[in-house]
Amino acid sequence: MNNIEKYRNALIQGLDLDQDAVLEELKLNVTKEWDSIGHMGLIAEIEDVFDVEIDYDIITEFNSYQSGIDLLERLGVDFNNA
Amino acid sequence: MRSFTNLEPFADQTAIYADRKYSYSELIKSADRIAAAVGRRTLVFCLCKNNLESVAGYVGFVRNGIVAVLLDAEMSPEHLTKLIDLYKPSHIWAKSDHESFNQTMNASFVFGEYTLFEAANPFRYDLHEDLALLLTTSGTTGSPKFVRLSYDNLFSNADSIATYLDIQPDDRPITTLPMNYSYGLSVINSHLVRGAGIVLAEASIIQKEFWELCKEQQVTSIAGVPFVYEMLDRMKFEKMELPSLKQLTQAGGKLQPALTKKFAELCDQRGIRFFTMYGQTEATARMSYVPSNKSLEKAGTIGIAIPGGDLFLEDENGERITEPYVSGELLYNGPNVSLGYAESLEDLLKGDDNKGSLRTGDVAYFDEDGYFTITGRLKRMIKMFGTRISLDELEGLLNKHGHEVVCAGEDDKLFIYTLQDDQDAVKKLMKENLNLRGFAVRKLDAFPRNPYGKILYSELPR
Repeated sequence: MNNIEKYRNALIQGLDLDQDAVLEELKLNVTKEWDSIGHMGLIAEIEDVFDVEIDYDIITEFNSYQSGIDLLERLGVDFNNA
Repeated sequence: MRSFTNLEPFADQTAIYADRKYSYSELIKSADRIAAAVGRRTLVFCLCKNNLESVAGYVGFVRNGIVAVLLDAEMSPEHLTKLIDLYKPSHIWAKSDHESFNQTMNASFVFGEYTLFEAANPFRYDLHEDLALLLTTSGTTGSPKFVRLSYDNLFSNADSIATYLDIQPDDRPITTLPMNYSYGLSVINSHLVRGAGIVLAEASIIQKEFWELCKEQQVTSIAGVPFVYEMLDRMKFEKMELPSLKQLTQAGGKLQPALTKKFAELCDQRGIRFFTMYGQTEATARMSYVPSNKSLEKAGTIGIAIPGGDLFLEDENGERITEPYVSGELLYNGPNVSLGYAESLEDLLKGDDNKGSLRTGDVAYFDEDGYFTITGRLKRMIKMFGTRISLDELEGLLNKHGHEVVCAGEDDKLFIYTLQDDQDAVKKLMKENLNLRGFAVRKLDAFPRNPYGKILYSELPR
């Protein structure tokens, strides 16, 4: 599984989404499953999957599909390498 | 004792920080205009968000003797319709773009993004003269059971809280909890009666905007249920720079003792006063608190009764327990004990059922200094992320939808056991209908039962 697939899986697992959810349209506090409770589940899932430590900045800036990718790239996760 | 009917002395002070500052005189004026559009003592549903419109509506209704039911604006349409059918509110205060109200009711007044919707054939109410407000007992199961609160309940509790927290006019709390939830509402009430200014945040604490607002408005106080403290801990609260913060309060369930200790220590080092508190909607909001100078020494306890209240224990024979470290049911007497419940329209005529005395359903003991510690519950109740859930009610609800299930668990850990292959359907129902997460659904071949057929909850696999 490449990193994008891992990331998409983490979103589905962490937020407890349906398999056919349109991940690109997810938005914090807009998508029903992505409220503060969902957010903490998602953060824990992503820490596990990518073996990273997510700090305050990332917790509070992560609010969409793309922002999660950008933030993980900052932590050294490579999304270009298939 | 100050109530919303005499906020006038604070006229020039700031009451609300929203898109801009709103003074008390502006708040009063808007509140009274909304109430004037209702025009009589009647029943209004107020669909709440932490915004100026909701607060102004609430203040106006209470100031002018209009009985409000505070509901979560995000409540599922199905539950809302059920409540409307049952209680027949003559008016609903909600967002102007609400689809079904626009079709079935008359829009009679607009303030900001909210509209006062009036029923086409408004029901004429008989309401008990002491009745001020109705709050739900459970945020998610959509139970039609409300707690009936009087004017004296609201403002005696607000005054008591403001006294032990020493709330001053220059205090500035930020909203972290919904105002239709008794803890969230108590933050608003206790600050308004002291002339303080409330920062209304629609963002939650996991969003950057929330923390920017805290800094910008120099927030002095944050309230949180256990889940909020778990998040603050994850976000490394110890590293956050919040120079204006003077106070943290925690209620809405038991925080893990290790976290209570951690926050008590951190707050002690940084000159922040940390209060652990305990209460129920049935007592308006608060019944006990741990004074901040005892927060380390008494971490893990729920503290002592609030000013004006009395906490005590009873054994199985109804005798008052006088020895420390003996467990019994926790009881509370005080002016903030609600009038009782309402389960139908007729109940709104009822007077004071509780007579100032409440059986909490919690089991506790006290130590030699008189500080109480809760050890369990008499009834099958748990809290999921601060929301109280009756496991029996939940079972009933799932049964009604055709799922033969048994529910068990503890705070923030809910297990649903089913005999059929309906795990996905149960999950879906819980998510969509009740907006509940953080639970597990397990399939069993049979429920463990005793010889009389009673379910043995303690023998369910975890």
